[in-house]
Amino acid sequence: MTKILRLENIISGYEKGFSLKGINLTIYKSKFYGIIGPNGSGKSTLLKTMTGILKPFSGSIFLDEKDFYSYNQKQRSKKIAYVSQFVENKDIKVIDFILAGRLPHFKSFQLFETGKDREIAHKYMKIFDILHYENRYMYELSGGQQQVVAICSALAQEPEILFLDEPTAHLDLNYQIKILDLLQELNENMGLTIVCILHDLNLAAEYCSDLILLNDGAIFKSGKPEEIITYEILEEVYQTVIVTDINPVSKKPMVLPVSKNALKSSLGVKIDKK
Amino acid sequence: MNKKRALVKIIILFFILIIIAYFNITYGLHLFEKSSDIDKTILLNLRLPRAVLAILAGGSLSICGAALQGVFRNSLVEPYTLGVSGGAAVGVAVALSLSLNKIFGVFLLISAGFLGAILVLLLLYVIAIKNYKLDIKTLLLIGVMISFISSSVLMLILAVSNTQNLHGIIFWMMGSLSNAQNNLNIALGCITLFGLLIFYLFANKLNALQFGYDKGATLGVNVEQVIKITVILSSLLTAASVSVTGIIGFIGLIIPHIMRKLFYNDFRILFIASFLGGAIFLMLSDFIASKIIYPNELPVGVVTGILGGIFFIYIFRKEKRA
Repeated sequence: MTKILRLENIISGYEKGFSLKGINLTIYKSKFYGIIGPNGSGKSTLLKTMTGILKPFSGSIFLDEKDFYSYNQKQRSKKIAYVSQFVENKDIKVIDFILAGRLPHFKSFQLFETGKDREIAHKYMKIFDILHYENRYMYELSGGQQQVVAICSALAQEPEILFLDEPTAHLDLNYQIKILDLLQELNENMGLTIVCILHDLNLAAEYCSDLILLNDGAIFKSGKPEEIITYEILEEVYQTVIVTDINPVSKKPMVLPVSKNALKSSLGVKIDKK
Repeated sequence: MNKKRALVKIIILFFILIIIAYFNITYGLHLFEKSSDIDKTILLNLRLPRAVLAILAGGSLSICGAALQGVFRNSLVEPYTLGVSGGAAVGVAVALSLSLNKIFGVFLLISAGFLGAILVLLLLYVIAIKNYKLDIKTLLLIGVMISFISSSVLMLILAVSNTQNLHGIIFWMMGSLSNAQNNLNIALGCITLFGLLIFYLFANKLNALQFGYDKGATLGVNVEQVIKITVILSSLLTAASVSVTGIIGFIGLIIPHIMRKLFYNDFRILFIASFLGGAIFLMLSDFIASKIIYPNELPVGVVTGILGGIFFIYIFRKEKRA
């Protein structure tokens, strides 16, 4: 397995208090990573540090075994693409949104895209089946469609790693599945390395090959979904009662929430039987 | 972006500018009659420099507005609403009241204005921008407050100036194009063209920032560098036009907004369109200002202020609803 990104003792965050406390992490090529963890555990900070948006206070990052900061921003952007949680800049046409992904490949002060850039944009639009949107404005599309366009634009960047910050957070179930299926396809067919923050533990377990569970700015545990999605681990991190089971179709672990009332009555039944 | 259609629109805009300039320059003159020497003198020494000044000042304020709106990602931002014009005006007024321009020439006025403008932007940068996180309401509110403060400081400077300098300061402060002189135009022209060129080379970077600072950074843009260069260049351009024309507000707000609707949300076209649009708008405003209470003349800042203020409220309401 080829190491593509390696973090050593990373301390990172914003001015008020550090949110990441000494992260050691290796991202291998062609895997599909899910970053999970409670609110404020440092998921976004970790993603922003790995994409170079946020410069860490200390520690080192290696991209393709070379110091991350020995590349300049433009060189990095040819290897790393990022999809944000919300799609901004909706006042342009779909084709121009996707062509923006070609910007890292422009020569300095090159003003207009070349025929090759358009070709690449069209190639990915075909893969994503959005060629018919080409001349629509972004604001005319639904939230889910916009997110598909944003991912397509990131792909047009032709990166080695694709980072996504909760791409499905505000979408309905249909588009949640659609987008994660799409990512899984890219991961399997093109060997694209994907690192994705996911709030939904079930989706993370279902789709990711590896999970990184964060708690309080540190990696609590990382590994295969089967090793992470267990009630012992999750109850400790999320501080709540969690029941886990196996998805009957995919055989992946899944999480079942239990309400306080249900818990009381189930315990009550047990006591009565005694 | 449809390049051909954009080019056609740009050419149309250019011709509109030429026609309005011609009309503005020759209005009321009898150039083709025999005894028209006086008219020719008026044309060459008064009307022509004034028209050139309208093109340069209108164009440069407008591209500053477009660029600032681009980096701050808000359509209510422009040199005037950020208080940059006010800061520049204070700088120029201080220089005028100390008669420094008589010793060091016009470039000192521009430098003094630049100093004032850059101080305001530094202040805004420190207060409203931290870790790339921009609080746009704070930015605008502080900008408006700085405008208030600087107009009070201008009054203060007037009050303490000696009568010799008073006339020049008042004349300039009202925001007027009647100050047009060839040497000032040449200086302003050089700065404007320089600014337009640099802004244009940064067009794609500004386009990338429209996807958010985070996404822009992963598209290979050095966000901090682009913000800094835009801020410094806008200060320079604003200072240059303010030092010649006084405060002319809202051009940088209205014109880029209209051009975004008329053309497309792409800085490669927006900068050129905004320059032409700003030039047309200021020339028209100047025509209205100089004719509406004939034989007296209204400062052109009054016209753009009234039109622009109404427009500001209109955009603010529309953005709030959206």
